[in-house]
Amino acid sequence: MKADELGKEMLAAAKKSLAKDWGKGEAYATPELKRLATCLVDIHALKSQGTVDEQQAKALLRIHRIATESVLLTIEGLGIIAVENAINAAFAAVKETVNKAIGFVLL
Amino acid sequence: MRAVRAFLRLPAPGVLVLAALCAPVPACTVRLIAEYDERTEQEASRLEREMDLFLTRLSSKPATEATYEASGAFYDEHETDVRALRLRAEALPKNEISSRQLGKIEESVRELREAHRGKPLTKQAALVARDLFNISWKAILTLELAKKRA
Repeated sequence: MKADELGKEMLAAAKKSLAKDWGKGEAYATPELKRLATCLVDIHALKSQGTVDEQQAKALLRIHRIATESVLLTIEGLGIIAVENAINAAFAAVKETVNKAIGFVLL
Repeated sequence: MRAVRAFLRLPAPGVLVLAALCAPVPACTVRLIAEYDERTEQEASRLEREMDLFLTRLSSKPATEATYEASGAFYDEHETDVRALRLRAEALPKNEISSRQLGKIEESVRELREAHRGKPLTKQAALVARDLFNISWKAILTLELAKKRA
């Protein structure tokens, strides 16, 4: 069992997995952040037109801040899942070699 | 150290690290975030629809009818259901992100309630609030579905 070869195999599998998952995260984040930007413009317009008073405008802004935090938390969660998938892909890539070399089922 | 390791027939340190990482789970699957929870998905979908319907109905009423007094019971029930879901999420291991998101939804419901208590919500304000709640619920659902790890 050669560390260099195992390392290369693990890295290649992790990279492939991360590339796949990054696309998923980006596909989620892009439209949601655009939607949040639109809502912010809408709140500003409502306040400017006098459609909402200061108290309601502030409440909408706080709800907006919370929604933004929630979207960012999902992006963080998707990132954690991507890392988890990459680790598991790296293990899976060398599973047979490692198990065979050490003589019992480790991975 | 190498001699002792050989004498005791211990595997190399790297193998020990792998063993430690894999120890808690059979077939060596690393888990950094909670497992998918079907109940969370179902309840989040239901609560998203409930808030959407409430704000859609509110937006179609004349301002004189979109009063807080007519909506108090909705807020009580909805907030209780969100809190119950947050408590469930907190009880699941490695589920901090979803728990925090549900806590934030609770906070949003309280904000909306206070704003509404002050004066009736206009149609436009109700529609913006609806969009924002939908973004928050979608964030929760997106993460929960990603936990399915297809």
